[in-house]
Amino acid sequence: MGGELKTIAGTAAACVAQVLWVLLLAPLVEGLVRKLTARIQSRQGPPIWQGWFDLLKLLGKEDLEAAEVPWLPRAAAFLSLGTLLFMACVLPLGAAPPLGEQTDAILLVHLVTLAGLGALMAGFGAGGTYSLIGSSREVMVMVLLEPLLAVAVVAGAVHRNSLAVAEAARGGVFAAEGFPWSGLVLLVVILLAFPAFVQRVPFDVAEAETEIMEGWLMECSGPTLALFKYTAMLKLVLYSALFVNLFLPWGEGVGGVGAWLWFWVKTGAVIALVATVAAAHARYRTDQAVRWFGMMLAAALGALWLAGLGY
Amino acid sequence: MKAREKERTLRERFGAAIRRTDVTSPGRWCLYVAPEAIREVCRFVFREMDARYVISVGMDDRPYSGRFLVSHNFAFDRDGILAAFLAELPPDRPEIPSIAGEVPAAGWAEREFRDLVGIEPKGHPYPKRLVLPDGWPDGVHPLRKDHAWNEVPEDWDDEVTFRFDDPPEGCTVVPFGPFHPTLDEPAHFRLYVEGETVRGCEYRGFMVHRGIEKLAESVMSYNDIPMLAERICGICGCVHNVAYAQAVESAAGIQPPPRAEYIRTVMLELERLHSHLLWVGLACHILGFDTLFMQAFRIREPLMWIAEKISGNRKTYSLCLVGGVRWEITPPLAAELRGILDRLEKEWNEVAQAVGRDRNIQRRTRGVGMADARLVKELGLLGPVARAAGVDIDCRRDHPYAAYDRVEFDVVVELDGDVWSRVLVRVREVFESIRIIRQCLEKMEPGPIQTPIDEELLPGRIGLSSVEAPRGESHHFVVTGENNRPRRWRVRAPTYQNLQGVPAMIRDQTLADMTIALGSIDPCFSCTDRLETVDLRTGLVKVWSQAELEQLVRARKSH
Amino acid sequence: MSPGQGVIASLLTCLIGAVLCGLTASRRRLTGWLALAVTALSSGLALYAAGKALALGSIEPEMFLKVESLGFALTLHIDGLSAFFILLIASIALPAVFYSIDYMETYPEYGVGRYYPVLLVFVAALYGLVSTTDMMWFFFIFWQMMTIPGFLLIRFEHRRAENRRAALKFLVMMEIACLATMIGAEMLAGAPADGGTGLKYDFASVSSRLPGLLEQRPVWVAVAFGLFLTGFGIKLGMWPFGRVWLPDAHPAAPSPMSAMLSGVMLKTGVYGIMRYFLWLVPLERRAAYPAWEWGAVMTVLGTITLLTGTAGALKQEQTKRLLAFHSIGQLGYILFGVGMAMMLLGMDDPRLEPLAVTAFAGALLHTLHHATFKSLLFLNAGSVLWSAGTQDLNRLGGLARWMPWTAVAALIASFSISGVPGLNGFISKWALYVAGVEGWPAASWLPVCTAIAILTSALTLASFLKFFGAAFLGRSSAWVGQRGRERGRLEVTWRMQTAQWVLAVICVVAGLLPAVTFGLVQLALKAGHDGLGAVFGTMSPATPAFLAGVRTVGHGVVIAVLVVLGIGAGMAVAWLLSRLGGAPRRRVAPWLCGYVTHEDAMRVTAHGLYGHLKSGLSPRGWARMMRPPAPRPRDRRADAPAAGAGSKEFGS
Repeated sequence: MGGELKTIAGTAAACVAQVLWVLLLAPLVEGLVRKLTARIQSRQGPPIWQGWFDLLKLLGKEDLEAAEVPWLPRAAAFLSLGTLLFMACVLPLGAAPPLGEQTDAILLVHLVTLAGLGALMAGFGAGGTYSLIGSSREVMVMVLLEPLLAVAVVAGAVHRNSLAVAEAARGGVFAAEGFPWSGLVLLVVILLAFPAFVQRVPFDVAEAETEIMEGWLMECSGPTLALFKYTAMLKLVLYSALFVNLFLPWGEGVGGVGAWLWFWVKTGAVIALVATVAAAHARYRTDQAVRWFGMMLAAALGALWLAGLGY
Repeated sequence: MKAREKERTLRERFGAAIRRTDVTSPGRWCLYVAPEAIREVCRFVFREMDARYVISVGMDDRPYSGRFLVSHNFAFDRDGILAAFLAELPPDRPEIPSIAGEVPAAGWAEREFRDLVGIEPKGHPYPKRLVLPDGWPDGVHPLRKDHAWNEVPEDWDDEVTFRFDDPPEGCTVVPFGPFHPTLDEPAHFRLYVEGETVRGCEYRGFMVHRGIEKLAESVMSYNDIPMLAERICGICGCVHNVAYAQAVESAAGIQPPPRAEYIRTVMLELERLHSHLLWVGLACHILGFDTLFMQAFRIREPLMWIAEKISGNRKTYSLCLVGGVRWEITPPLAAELRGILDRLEKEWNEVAQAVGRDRNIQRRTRGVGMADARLVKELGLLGPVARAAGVDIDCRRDHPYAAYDRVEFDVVVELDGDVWSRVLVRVREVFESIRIIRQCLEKMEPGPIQTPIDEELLPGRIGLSSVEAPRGESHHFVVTGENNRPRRWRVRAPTYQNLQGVPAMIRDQTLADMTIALGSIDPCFSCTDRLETVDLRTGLVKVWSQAELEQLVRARKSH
Repeated sequence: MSPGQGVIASLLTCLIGAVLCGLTASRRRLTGWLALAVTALSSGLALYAAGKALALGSIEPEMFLKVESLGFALTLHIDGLSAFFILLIASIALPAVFYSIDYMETYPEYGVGRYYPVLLVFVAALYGLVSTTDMMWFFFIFWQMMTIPGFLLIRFEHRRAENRRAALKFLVMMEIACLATMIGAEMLAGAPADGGTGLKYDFASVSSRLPGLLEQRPVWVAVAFGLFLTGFGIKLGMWPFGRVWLPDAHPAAPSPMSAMLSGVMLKTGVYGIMRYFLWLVPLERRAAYPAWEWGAVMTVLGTITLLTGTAGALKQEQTKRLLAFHSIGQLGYILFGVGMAMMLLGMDDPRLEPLAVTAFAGALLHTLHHATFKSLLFLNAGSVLWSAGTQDLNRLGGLARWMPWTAVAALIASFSISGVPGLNGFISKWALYVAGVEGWPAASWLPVCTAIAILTSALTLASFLKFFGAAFLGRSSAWVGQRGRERGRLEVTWRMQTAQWVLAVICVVAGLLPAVTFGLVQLALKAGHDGLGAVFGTMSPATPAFLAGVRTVGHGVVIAVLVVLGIGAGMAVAWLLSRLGGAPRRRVAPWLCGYVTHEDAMRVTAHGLYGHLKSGLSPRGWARMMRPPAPRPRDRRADAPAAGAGSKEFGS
C-alpha cells in the first residue's frame, strides 16, 4: 500500500513538473515565433517575452461577457486549457510521459478534439454573428483534421500492433514490414495540413482577422481571451511535439538529458517551419481549405489501407 | 471639332430640346437641355454615342439665375471630351426625370442631389436616403444656399435608425463595418449571407460626411480650397488638389507654366506609386499574407521620405494653387528621386515576380470579384477596375492634363476582370509611373512655377477636370462665383462609382472573397464622403454623444 | 419465479395495464399515472427476470404454450443476450412513460386513449420479441404487436398528412422486414426431426438442422441469412433501407415514443442480427459457417450506414429529424461492431478471438449507450418542442438561458453521442476502435473502416454542435424570446426533468465507470446459450483493471476516471490563472461592427452552418468542389489595344 501511494505521489509530481514546464515554455516559444516572423518581414519585432506580457495584461483586463449564458465561454476556456495541460501528461515530451500507462493513442486523438471543442463552445456560446461564422468554419476544419491525426495514429497502431502512446504514436507509422510507404505518405499529408492544427496561416480560416475578426474568439476578452491565447501557445508547442513523436522519433536512443534536448531541438525546428510557412503564404479560403483537407484525408485513408497490407 | 459634330447629331435628333451649347475649350463642352428631354438625351449619349457616365451634380442656383440646375456629366474618352449636360429647373418645382433607369451609373448621384439639394429625380428606381445621416430630418437640404453651412436642423433626432431592406429568405444578415479590420474607414455593408456565400448586400456609407463642398462654397477662397481639397483623402489627396486647381483653371482659362505642370505630374505619379504599393500591401494583408504587406511598406517608405523632402509632408503635399504649384523640385532632390526610383524598380521587380509565381495568391484572386466590361459600362466603374476588365480608359491619355501629353507611357490593360487582373494592372502601373517620373525629371526646363493672376475670376463659368487617381478618375466640377470663391464645387472620387459595383462583384462569392473583392477596388470611403473623420472617441469611461461632439467641434471653430 | 415467468408476468402486466388505461382514457393525468404504475411494475418484473437470468448464468428454455401440429409454442429462453435487451427495454420504458405524463399535455386535441394503451402493448411486444425462441409464429405475433402499435403511435397526430404518410411507410417497411425474416426462417426450418424441442420453428431445432444444411445447400442457407440481414437491417435502419422510413417515422411520433422507437425498438433489429447470425450456428460446427464473409458484409454495410446516416444528419434543420438520422448513424456503429466480431471469429485464430469479444462487447455496449443517450436526446427535443413549440432549429436559439437544466442534460447527451471522453459514448466507440485497429489481420481494409468510423464520430460532433448550438446557445431568437415572455418560464416540469436526468446520470456513470457496464456485458455473454456466440463467454474481452479502468488484451488502456480527474485538474489550473488578475466582469452585447443593433436576422441559424462541409458530403457537391472553378466568360472589348493585354508575367 505504501509503495502504491509512493508511485501515485511520484506520478503526480511528474505531472506537475511536466505541466509547469510547458506552461513556462509556451509563451516564450510564442515570443520567439513572433521574433522570427518579424525578421522574415524585415521588422524588429517585439521582445521575446512579449507572449508573457500579453498574457499578464489580458489576465487583468475587463472580462466583457457577450454571451447570454456568460459562464459558458469561460468554462469552455477552462476546458480547452485543461485538456491541453492533461495532454502534457500523456504525451512523451522527450521522456516517458507520467500517465503513459493509463492512456492510449485513441484518447490522445480525442484530447485534440476536446481542446478544439472548448473553442467551439465559446464561439457558439457567445452567439455573435461573427463568432458563429468562425465556429462554423472551425468545425468544418476540425471534422477533417481530427480523422487525419487519427489515421496517423491508427497506422502506427497497425504497424506496432499496439495502441499504447509509446508504440503507436512514437514513430509507429514507419514500423512497416517492408518499405514504409504508408508512413511516408502520412508524413507528407500531415505536414501539408499541419498549420491547421496550430491555427496558423494559411489555414487559420476560423480566426481570419481580416475576414471575420478572429471568428469564434471575437467575443472573448480579458482572462477568457488570455486562456484561449495560452491554449493557442500550448497548442503550438504540444502539437509540434506530437508531430515529432509521430514522425520524427529518430536520434533519441541515447536517453537521458541528451535525448530530451534533442527532442526539443526537433520540436523547435517544427515550430520554426510552421512560422516560416505562415509568413510565406496567404490564407486559403474556407472551401479551398476544406477541399484541401478532404484530399489529404483521402490520401491518408489510402495510406492506411497500405498500412493494413503491411507497407 | 468633335464636340460640334456631336452637337449636330444631338440637334438633329432632339431639335428644340437642345437649348444652347458652350464649348469652352477643345476638350470641354456644356450643353443646356430642356428638363423633360434630359432622360432621352442622356440615354442617347450613353447608349448610342457610347459616352462614359461621370457624375450628376445638383445645384441651387436661385440666388444667381433664379433656378435649380442639374448637370449630368459624361466623358467621350476616345475624343478627349468632358461634357456637362445641364438642365435648368424652376425654383418652385425642383423635379427632373431620373436617368438612373437608363444610366444605372447615375443611381447614387441622383440620390445624392435628392438628399442634399432637394431636387427630386422623378422615377428613380431606388429613391432611398444615401448621404444624409440617420437622424437628419426629411425636407432639409444642406446644400441649398439658404441653409447656413454650420446649421444643424432643430428636429435632429439621435434615436432614428436607418431602415434597411429585408434580407432574402434563408440568409443571415452579417453586419460588416463601420469598424472592421478590413475597412480602414467607416462604411457599413449589410451582407446577406447564406452559409458562407454572400447573396447580396445593402450599403450605408457617408458616415463621415464632412460637408467639404458646402464649406468651400460658403467660407473659403479659391486658393484656400486646394488645401481643403487634398484633405478629402489621406491617400490620393494630391489628386484632388490638382483636380480642383485644374477645374478652376479650366473655368477661368488660366494656363499654369510648364515647369509647374511637370512638377504636378511628378507628384501625382509619386502619389500613385505610394498608393499602389500601399494597396498591394493591404491586399496581401486582407489575404493573410503579412510578409508581403510588410515588405511593400518597407519598399514604399523612401517614397514617403522624398515626398517629405519636396513638400515638407509625407502625405498631404499642399502642392497646388490656382495657376501653379508651391514646391520646387531642386536638382539635388531630383537626383535623390532618381536614386529612389532605381532602387524601387529593382525591388518592385522582385515583388512582381514573387507575386506572379505565387499560386497561393492566384488561387485566392482568380475568378473572384468579377466585374466585366458590361458592368464597367453600366455602373461607370473606373481606373484599375475598368482596365482589368479590358476597358481601356485612362484620363492621363484620354483627357491629358499637366504634362502627360509630353511623356510616353502605356496604359496597362488586362482582360479577365477579376481581382487577379486588378493586381496585375496595379503591379505593372508601378513600372509605368516610374517611367513617367523619369521622363519628367529629364524634360523639365527651369522656369517659373506660378502664373500670376491679377484680376478677379469671372463668375458663372463652368470648369470640368478629370485627374487619373490611383483608383481611377477623380472628377471635379466647378462653377466660379463671387467673393473669390466658387458657387458650386462637386467632387466625384473614383470610389464613388466603384463602390456601386461592389454589390454585383461580391454576389455569390464567399465571405472570404468578399473582403478581397471590396479591397480590390481600393476603396476610399472618405473620398466618397468628403468629410472630416470624427470617431466616437472612448475616453477613460466616457463615450461621447453626437451632441457633445458637435459642441466640441463648434467650440473649436469659434476660436 | 423463474426468469421466463418473470418476463411473462411483465408482459401480461403491460397488456392488462393497456386495457385499464384504455378504460380510464378520458382522464388524462390519471391515465398517465396509471400507465406509469403499470410500466414500473412490468419494468420491475422484467429487471428481476433479467437479473436472475444473469445471476444464474445458464437458463434452460421454458415452454408456456404449445400447439405441436403447427410447430407453435411459446417458448421463452432468457439467456444472457435476451436478459441484456430486456434490461435495456425496461430501463428506457420507465423514464419514457414518466416523461409522457406531462408531455402529453401538449396534445389537448388528441386523446391519450390512443397513446398509453398502445404504448404498453408496444412495450409488451418488445419483451416478447427478445425472449421468444419461436422463429415463426410468436415471432410474427410479437412483431405485429410491435409494428401495429408503432404505426398507431407514429400517426398519433393523425390530422397531419405527413405523419400519416410516415406511419404508412413504417408499416410497409416493417411488414416487408417481417416477411423477409419469416421466409428466411421457413427456408431453414425442416421437419422436427433431429433433437431440439421437437418444434419445427423453434430456435434450437433450426440450429440443430443448420450444420447439415450448410454442408448440403450452402447457397440456400446464404439466401436465408441474406433475408435475415435484410429483415433486421430494415428494422435497425441499415443502409440503404434506413433512410426510407426512419427519418420520417421518428419525428412524427410523440417525443417519448420517438425515444422508445430509437432507443429501444431499433435495438430489436440488433438483437435479431446478433441472435440469428451468432447463435444459430452450433459452436462445434463453426468451420462450415462463413462467419468472415457475413462479418465483412456487415462491416462494410455498417460503415456505409454510419457514414451516410451521419452525413445525412448534417443537413437536417429539424431537431427530431436530425436525431433520427443519427439513429441510423449510431446503429451503423453497432452493425459495424457485430460485423467485426464475426470477421475476427471467422479468422479462426485464437489470438484474434479476444478482439472479437472486444468488438462484440463494444457493439453490445453501444446498444446500451445509444439507448440511453439517444432516448435522452429525444426527450430533450421533446422538451424543446414542449417549451418552444417548434422543431425548427432555425427558429430556435438561446434556450440555455430559458431552460438551463434541460440544456445541461442535452449537453451531456450531445457530448456522449459524439464520443467525448468521460461519457458513455466514448467507451463503446473506443472498444470498437480498438477492435477495428488491432483487428487488421482480419482484413487490410478494416483499419480504413475504423478511420471512417472515427471521421464519422467527428461529423457527429459537428452535427450535435449544430443541434445544441442552434437550439440552446447563441442569442435568444425572436421566436424563443416571444414564447418566453408569453409563458414566463420555459423550463419543463420536474417530472420531465427527472426522466431526463435519470438518463443523463446513466450516461455519466457509465462513462466514468465503464467497468460496471463491461461487467454487465461479460455476465450477459457468460450466460449465453449454446451457439457460436457462446465463444464470447469463454474468454474475457476486457479486464476491469481497477475501479474504472478498461484494458483490452494489453494493447490499450483508458482509465476514464483518471482522464476526467486530470482534465478537471487542468481546468482548475485554468480557473486559478483566470482569477489571478482580479479582472472585473461586465455584460455587453456582441460586437456588430458598431453601427447596427442586434436583430433576429443576424443570428447564424442551423441553415447557415457548415456550408462547405454540407456540400462536400453529397457526391454531387463533392464533384463540384473538386472541380477547379470554371473561368467565367471573358468580355473582350473588340477595340482593346494590344498594349499590355495578354501578357501574364511582370517585370519584363
